[in-house]
Amino acid sequence: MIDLNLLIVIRTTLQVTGSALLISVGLGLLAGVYIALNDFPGRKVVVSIINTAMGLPPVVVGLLVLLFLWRGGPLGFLRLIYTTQAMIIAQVFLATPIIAGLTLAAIQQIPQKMKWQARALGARGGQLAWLLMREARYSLLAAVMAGFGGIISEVGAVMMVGGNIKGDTRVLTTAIVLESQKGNFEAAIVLGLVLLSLSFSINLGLTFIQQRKPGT
Amino acid sequence: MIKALLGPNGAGKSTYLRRLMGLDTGEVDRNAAMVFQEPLLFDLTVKENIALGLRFRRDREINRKVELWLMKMGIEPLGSRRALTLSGGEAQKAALARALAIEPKRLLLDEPFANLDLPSQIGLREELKAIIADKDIETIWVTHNKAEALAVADHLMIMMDFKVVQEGAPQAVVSNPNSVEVAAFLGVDNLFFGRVAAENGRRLFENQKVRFETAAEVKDRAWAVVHPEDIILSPEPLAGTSARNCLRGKVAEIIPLGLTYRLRIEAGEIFMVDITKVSAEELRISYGQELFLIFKATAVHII
Repeated sequence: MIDLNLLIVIRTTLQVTGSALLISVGLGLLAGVYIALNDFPGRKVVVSIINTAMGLPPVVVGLLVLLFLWRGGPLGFLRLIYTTQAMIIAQVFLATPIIAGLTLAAIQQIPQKMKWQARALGARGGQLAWLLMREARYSLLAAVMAGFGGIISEVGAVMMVGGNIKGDTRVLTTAIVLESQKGNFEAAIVLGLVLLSLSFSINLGLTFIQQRKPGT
Repeated sequence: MIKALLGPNGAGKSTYLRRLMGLDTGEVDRNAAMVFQEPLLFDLTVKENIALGLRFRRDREINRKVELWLMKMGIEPLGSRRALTLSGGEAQKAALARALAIEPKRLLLDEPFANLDLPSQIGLREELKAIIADKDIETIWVTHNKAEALAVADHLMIMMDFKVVQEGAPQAVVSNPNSVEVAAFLGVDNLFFGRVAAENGRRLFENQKVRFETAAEVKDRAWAVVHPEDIILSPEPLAGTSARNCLRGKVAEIIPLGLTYRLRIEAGEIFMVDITKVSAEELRISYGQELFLIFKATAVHII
């Protein structure tokens, strides 16, 4: 069963989810930390939007991205529909709110006195963000894992905007759907196991980073 | 120079300190360092914690200064330990090292030793006093503990209801509280309510239970304080001494306090008087014994 096609599907999966995760981690951490440490008009509305977006149904995200990227749509000229880039965009919309929301919660959970102490030490701007992110690093890695889990297992959005094109936009989840529909359960189960082990090894790696303790 | 800011819980001492530091306004004073009641160490190693203030100031000698302060606080063996595994006393030493490492011009301490046991409190307090004197750091030391304030203060500030209500040399404040609230908070003994009236060119403090001479001005509603250490006990009334009060009293209670006794004496009002064991034996102090309380008119402080 380990053939060239499977390897291509795994590569596409890692490429799409990996890129989407990198972008989402950047955006999500930045947004979460900024919102946690700053007060601005409309902050509560923004927080509510993020909290809602944490539970966005993937097919709705898929539909929205599809509408924008469709040939006749507002961003149709970019010719991104049915490409891996379109899938990455959809996954970024799914993972960023999860990471931002959990980051916001993690930073807010640091006791007020610790934040005073950080500022009393002279930390400002980026220094303050750096110190508080280090303090909340276990929660932040959990946020990254949640974002990763949300997109590697996702099928609706990538199916809609990627089109499940063989050798191009086919990923593990869409391949499982296809094989099941064709009645190739054996192939579907193997793909499922591959997906699980992939997800497990990446989470294992992140957990090892997370559980490192400072000092002796 | 240590200014102690003393006041009851909820008087606004911590808020006052945060304002001084600039934590409420957004512009933090970078020449100042602050230590809180809790060590508030970050989940890093001890060394990394001590280095934080120096890193934020892009100091060029971080390692040397971290080692120096680990040594000064006597916690060198703990440098590589995870800060969260330290005991309370060790952690507070690390927090002090972290604050002092930036060589602050001003040091703000918010009940820094309130969570420590008494022996560590006293040891650490003396170490810190020496460092403050040595480095000439302008220090504000918040505490609700009168003994601690008196042990450290060059200048004492009393805070109540979010205001500094009295300040000055510690002994001056303690012996001359400017309000009943301050007197009550400082635990002043022999505090009586009444009025100051003029009589034959003398001024007398009086209420329904007691009358004695004072040097203060006439006042309708007045509080009088007579410090226990200003009262002399005598088996005989002292006649003929001018401007001295001589009240007849009865010993109501004898409280042993190590080398001294504290006596509760009924002389109209209840007076607390301290007496050494030697004098107590000479006077053959016993319950119900009659004694005379002698104190100068100038020893009567009117609030």
